[in-house]
Amino acid sequence: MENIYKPFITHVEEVRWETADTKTFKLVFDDPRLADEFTFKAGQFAEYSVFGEGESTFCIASSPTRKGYIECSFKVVGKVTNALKKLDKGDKVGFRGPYGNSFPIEEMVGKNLIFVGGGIGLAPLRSLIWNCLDLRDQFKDITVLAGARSVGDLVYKNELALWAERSDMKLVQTVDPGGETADWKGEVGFVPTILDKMNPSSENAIAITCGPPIMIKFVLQNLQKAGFAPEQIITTLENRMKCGLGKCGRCNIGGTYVCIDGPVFSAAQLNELPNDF
Amino acid sequence: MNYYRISAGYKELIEALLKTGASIIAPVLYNKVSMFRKISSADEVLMPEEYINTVRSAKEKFFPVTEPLVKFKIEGKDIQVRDIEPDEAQTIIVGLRPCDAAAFNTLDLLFSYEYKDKFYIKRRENTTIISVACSKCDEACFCTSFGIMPDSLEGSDIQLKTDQDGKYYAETVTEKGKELASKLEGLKASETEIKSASIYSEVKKKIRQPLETDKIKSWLDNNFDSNFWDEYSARCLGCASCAFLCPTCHCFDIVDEMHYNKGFRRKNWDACQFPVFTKHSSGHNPRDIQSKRYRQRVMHKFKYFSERFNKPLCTGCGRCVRACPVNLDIYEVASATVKY
Amino acid sequence: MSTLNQIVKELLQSGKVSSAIGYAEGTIPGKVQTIIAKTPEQAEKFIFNSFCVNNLVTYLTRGFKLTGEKPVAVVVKGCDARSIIALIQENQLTREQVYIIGVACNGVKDKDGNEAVKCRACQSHTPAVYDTLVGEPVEEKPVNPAEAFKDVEKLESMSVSERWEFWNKEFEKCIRCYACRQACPLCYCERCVVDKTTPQWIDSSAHPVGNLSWHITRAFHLAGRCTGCGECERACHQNIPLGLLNKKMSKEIFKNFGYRAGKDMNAKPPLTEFKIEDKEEFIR
Repeated sequence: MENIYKPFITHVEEVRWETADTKTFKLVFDDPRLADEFTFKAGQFAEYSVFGEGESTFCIASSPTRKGYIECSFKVVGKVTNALKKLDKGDKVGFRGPYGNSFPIEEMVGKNLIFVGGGIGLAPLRSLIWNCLDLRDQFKDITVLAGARSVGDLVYKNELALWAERSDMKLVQTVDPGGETADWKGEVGFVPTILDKMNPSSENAIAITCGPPIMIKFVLQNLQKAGFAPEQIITTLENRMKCGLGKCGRCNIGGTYVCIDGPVFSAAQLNELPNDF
Repeated sequence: MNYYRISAGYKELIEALLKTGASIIAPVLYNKVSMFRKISSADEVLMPEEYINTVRSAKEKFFPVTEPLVKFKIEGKDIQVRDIEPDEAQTIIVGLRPCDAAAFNTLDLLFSYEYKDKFYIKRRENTTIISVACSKCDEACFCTSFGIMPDSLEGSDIQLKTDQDGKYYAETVTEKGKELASKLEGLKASETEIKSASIYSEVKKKIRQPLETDKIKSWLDNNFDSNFWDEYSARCLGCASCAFLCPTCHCFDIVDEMHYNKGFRRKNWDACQFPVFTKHSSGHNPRDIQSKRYRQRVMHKFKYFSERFNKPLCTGCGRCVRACPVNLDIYEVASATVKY
Repeated sequence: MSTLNQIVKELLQSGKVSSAIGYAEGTIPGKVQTIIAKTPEQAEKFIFNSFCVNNLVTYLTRGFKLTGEKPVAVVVKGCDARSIIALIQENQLTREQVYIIGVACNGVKDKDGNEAVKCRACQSHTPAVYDTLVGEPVEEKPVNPAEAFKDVEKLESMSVSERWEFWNKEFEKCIRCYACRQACPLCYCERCVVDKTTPQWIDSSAHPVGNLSWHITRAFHLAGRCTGCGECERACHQNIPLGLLNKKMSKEIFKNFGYRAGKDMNAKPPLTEFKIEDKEEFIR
């Protein structure tokens, strides 16, 4: 019987500092067969380990359409992320996954997609955004609203620049009031406020959002005001996790385990959850 | 053949079990605490008359207090990760009460759904359970709230009971049980039907009135934010004795421990009652006060687990009630819900 | 115990206190519950008998709302009152925040129904501090002070290797439930050292190293602070004689500094300050 707690070994192929405290790794499985065959769906997460320190939960931030590697982004906040911070090219990172459910990409086919990401919340969205861009003709309009506290806190800056150039999607960037620099060309305002300003149409549309809880709360409100039904709004949650596979009893919100019943939920499903997060 | 007479006594049966060569685990009094331990002689065991139930449950035989999952060695940039195999010796647990035998069936559901936990499953597969029906109960017991009785067979491979003359006999419940029974000296096949003692139905009557678990679940469905939780958990100290002694509680932590360049990733018992159980690295804690943690315990036991697995996460063994230093009695709390 | 009920009722009715913490009937024989009463109607549930072994002062440091305008009333025995004094010494409470309902106690029972170990050498059957006293002050019978440390002396007479074996055998049973910590009135740290992960000072696993580290650390952190209420040992369902460790530390503190925790509200615990007279024999 396989050991469900045993991680695969990956090595760091590329390192990128997104912000002062957020880092992205490009990881390749040591086992070449795994590197070739590994698949996952956008929205799934994994447990990444630094051996000797422990495991930490992050989404898989790269698109499943890109084979041979996976990417993850994380903010340095605790024991394991502080250890991950010190890793560089060639270092080993344990990988257990993919876990969880995924974004309902089949339901998005033929629809207009609005992505709303705040801070590091852009990471799980990025997986789905590239997934959709790689299959571009399956979807209608694609709009991305990416915001952060300040210009320095924006993640995936290089990709934001690429998206800004593309004619087959619309990108709006914003920083919180006071977070702009002198040469900032994007919007200034909280993400929910800018979303309001953009006034997205709910006609044949799906909105996908991720970010700090307070941002999600207001984004959900504004989307519903704009006519989006709760089933048309998708988000991804996080909670303290350890096993990632529904056994250690830690990540539940009411009777729902974020690790196996989520982390992707629709606003309709969120409404059913008790105030336990 | 479902019934076997035990030709000698309980201790002699244990000796016969030891002779099969299997690892025999029985209740013992070890350093002033009653628990299940591997024995090498029948003199070590607690006789069924000597205990209503042990302080520690037998879940630690399949789900140890701490166990290594994976071991690793770091040499420069290279890391070697090795699998760990659980001990797969043939094992017999004898002296378990029906509530504990049923509890294993409950734990089975958790450790084998979606992802199979080989550490639990392998040990469980290699173990035969011999339960002993209860000829006594105390004020803490409430197994009948969950459809379990002093002589329930659920989870047992063999059950030992006394007949009307007070002599032990064995009832085989499963194929595994039958197979073991056929190997045992000390068990005699009997053609006559054995009349179980009436003591078991008498004991059943003494157990606390069964909880109305359906009504309790309905109340829990609608009262997540009730003031009930603040009021009823006010005296909880958050000590986790209940969770750790419980035969069905299964929460755990995964930690890495290093010694120089070698280390283990371990699975350790954990409890929703601990303050940092749900604390995020950011500092945010969804269950930051004890009432929220106590609510989680009751909800998990009487609602969440049964929604997922069609069984409550409790078998009424009463260990939590006996151990709680402030007498926070889950039976009392559960029955108070519907009256609140 | 009508005077106890009357006192609690009056305190809650007059609004003199925000709540009252006391003992109530348990659901199984030999156990009492804690009651945290907010209304005068709940006053009738208060009891006091020889099963009331719990130290209710622990609640005062368990996230209890002591910062409110009104004090909290708490029923204390002599041993419990020492915990209040110790907490005041450590600035966790002010005297005004607690309304102390002292009870004269003739000894309490342990879980087997025998006289609790802590009662054997007790010299504080009447609480040293209270706002009101229930029952007549008990005349202290002379007790041989050596009686208090008899079990510690037995341990001290063992060789180092015997003691090592003794403690490892006891800690083998420990499952790291932290009931000892949660039941202790002086373990009030918002985040216990064992829960800290950067770095993980004490292994959280219940193996010999982890268990030894935990118990030694806890004993050291309580040195000079433990008032001997025995709650840790009572809460430990594995019957680990935790009181021995804490008593040994108390003995050492008394020997070196002439200090006992929970006696003098104005005294400073010796490990929180430095005096010129402190012995330095350990520096060679």
